[in-house]
Amino acid sequence: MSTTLASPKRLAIAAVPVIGMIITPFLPFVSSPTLWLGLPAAIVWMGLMIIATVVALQIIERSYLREGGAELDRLELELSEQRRAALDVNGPEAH
Amino acid sequence: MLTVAIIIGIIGIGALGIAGRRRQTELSGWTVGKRDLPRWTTWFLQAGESLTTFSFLGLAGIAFGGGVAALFAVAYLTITCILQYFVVPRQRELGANRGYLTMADFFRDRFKSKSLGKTVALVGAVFLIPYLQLQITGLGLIVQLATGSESARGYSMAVASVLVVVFVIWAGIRGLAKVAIFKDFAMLAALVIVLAGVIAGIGGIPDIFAKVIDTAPDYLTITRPGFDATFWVTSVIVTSIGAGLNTFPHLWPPVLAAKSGAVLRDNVKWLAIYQFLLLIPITAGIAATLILDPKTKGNQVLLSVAQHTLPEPLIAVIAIGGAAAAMVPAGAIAMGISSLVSNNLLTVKNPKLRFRINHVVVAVAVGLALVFGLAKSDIGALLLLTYGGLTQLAPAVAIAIGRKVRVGAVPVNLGIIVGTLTVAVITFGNIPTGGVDSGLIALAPNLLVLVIGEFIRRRRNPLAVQDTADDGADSLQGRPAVGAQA
Repeated sequence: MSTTLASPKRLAIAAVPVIGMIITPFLPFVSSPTLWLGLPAAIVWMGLMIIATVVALQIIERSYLREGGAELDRLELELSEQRRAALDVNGPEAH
Repeated sequence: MLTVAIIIGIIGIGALGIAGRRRQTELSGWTVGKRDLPRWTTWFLQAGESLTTFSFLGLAGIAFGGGVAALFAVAYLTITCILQYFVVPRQRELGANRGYLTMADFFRDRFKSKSLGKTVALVGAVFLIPYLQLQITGLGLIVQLATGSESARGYSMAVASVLVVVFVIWAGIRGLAKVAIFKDFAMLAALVIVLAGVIAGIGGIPDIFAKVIDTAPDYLTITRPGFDATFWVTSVIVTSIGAGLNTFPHLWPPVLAAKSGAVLRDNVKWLAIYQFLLLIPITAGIAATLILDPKTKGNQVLLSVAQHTLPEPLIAVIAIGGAAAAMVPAGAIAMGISSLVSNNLLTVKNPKLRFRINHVVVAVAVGLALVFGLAKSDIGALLLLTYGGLTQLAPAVAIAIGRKVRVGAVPVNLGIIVGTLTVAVITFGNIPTGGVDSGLIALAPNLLVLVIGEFIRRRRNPLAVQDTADDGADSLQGRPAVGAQA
């Protein structure tokens, strides 16, 4: 359980698509001309990595919110609203 | 007729930025609004960097020469989303608590150093000029290619530059957001039209790639000269680091203006989807190898394919989409440069005078970029400095987003200067790097100087490590904003 957004567990999940994209040129289906479903395998692979990125970030976000992040978000929003109210009363930030 | 339609489109884009907006009268409201931009407004501003003239002209050109190696842009932009998910909410939090208006404010505050703030402001402002020129030149090229008229190129660049200056000065970040929304829909329409043209004019997508695998199979691997695995790995790593840690000054206002960190996280966890759009110009670039002269210049590939396959009215739609793709980043870059100069580089105490100077800098920056563009000055080498040079700020950003900043400003400053000079020497000295990105190479001396400098600092003053910026000092009340100089 960690309220730190960049906890080791969450960073490990995020690393999966990152590594998948960096090693692309070395994958056997990219280093030789290959078509999958009529498309270059490299393009299909990159499409899969985009989807993997979205999925990984959704998992990370849920884990963060579940483990205390939702409360931190609520507090941050409250603080932002106080700040905006102060701005409305005192004028712009430039003092 | 085509020229008139495109110029009207460009004027419409500019008018959109001004319409319905009251003129901004002070720097903080102009730069970051009330720090309350909602999710969708922030979304379109954050997406700005994914769809630019590079997506339009550059990417198809790289695919035309390097085949699927052009996917490196998809890779680094996707990795950028992942890094930004962790980084930008923290930058926004610090910005809101401490009143930052620019990236340089962040450095100045976190390292407690005015000189570091000025170094970052200078590096950022200078390196963004070539990037600004790229957008304006790209716009001119799009119009010239679409209309076949050299004079239309010049007129369109001048008209677009004036409009960018007007809507940016008038409405600041909110005007930019409005145009950014239009830009994304226009780009989407333009890219879908390009794809339809490719399918109608050249053949179905599987047929195209079946022909390519028969005629030039290396287009489907990352092995073409200049676009090999070394190019891929180093370019993806260095650009992801630079963009992921948000080292581009013009990308800070959308982050600082966002309503909350949750809004930023919500956006970047979906923004990777945008990269699917980039597969269209890459496909068009590879398909172009079947119909265009191999000597065709890279920047001309996408519009040449469109001209081969589409009727004139649709070319106009593509050109207007391309113009929007240039004008939005141009506006953001002009804002980035002007706020760095007026807020950080110059010491102006009168807020009204500072805001007027800010306006003058917007006009001067766009004017300079226009003059370079009209003169066809080749400052392309400076653009390499833009990416490689600004990435030299990455170690300092990584240090500064921590809860406590334990590293001194002088080592960080020296590291940035040495890293930037290294990029400059490699670029202007034409030093061969074996395909390794100069920005990545320069990070080594940058980090070395930073570590040695910090070691010396701690040896000289063992207590120095305690003299650090600390989150505990942040609070809403009782703290002066650092963004606008008091």
